[in-house]
Amino acid sequence: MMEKLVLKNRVDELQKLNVFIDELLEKWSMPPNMGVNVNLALEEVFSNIVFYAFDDDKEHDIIFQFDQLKQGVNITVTDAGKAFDPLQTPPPDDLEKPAEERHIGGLGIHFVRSVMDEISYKRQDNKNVLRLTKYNSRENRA
Amino acid sequence: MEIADIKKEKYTIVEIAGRLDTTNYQELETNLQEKLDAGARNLILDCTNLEYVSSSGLRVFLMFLKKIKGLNGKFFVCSMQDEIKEIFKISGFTSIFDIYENRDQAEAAM
Repeated sequence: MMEKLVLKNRVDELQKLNVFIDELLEKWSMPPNMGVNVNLALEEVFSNIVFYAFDDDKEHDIIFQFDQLKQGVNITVTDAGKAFDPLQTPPPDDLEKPAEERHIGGLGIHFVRSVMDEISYKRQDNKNVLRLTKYNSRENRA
Repeated sequence: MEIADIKKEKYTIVEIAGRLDTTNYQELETNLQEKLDAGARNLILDCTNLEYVSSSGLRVFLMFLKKIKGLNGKFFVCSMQDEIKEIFKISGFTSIFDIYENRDQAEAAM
């Protein structure tokens, strides 16, 4: 089973993404805690693209493709913005530090890495293609 | 997201309900800043009905933790649902925030 959602690079499109994820995961009978993780990861990916991928003021498409797996879901996010490989972003180095020394920001990609089971990135046909996988539970990992 | 205040003599309880994300984190930021501007120094964020928070929302939490500490105030968080606790843990926020299981405990600590 495959479903697709195309959004514009505007912050207010986020709500469509939330509704789409919640409805789809319910339809695919995924466990409820998966919804929070998928929402969290995709919001971070989506807002990174909206804020940083495009320098012009034009509207651009951000494509979310959801593939149902036997024990989870694969999500492929495609945009034609500037090349950006989130896997090259170093993890935050201040997670153990006291509040005064913590940076405000820099958590987004860390969230994606933490809540998803697998992540891969490729630059293809001048597009960023980010693939995220979440399994029903870690025990079921294929 | 909905924000409601309960004013006590020495502190204010701020109830946050619904989703706190990239589309509305500025509402919370403005709301809390207005409280500081009006002289509030001690806040309890009651998260009983907070269903979701993304990194944009956590940024506001951290920003005000720093501001209020700088003002020698108290900024407590209470009654988080398990999913929100998990997000706090991932962020390394568990060690830097004063977190209470319920509102009574947070009020007693004020």
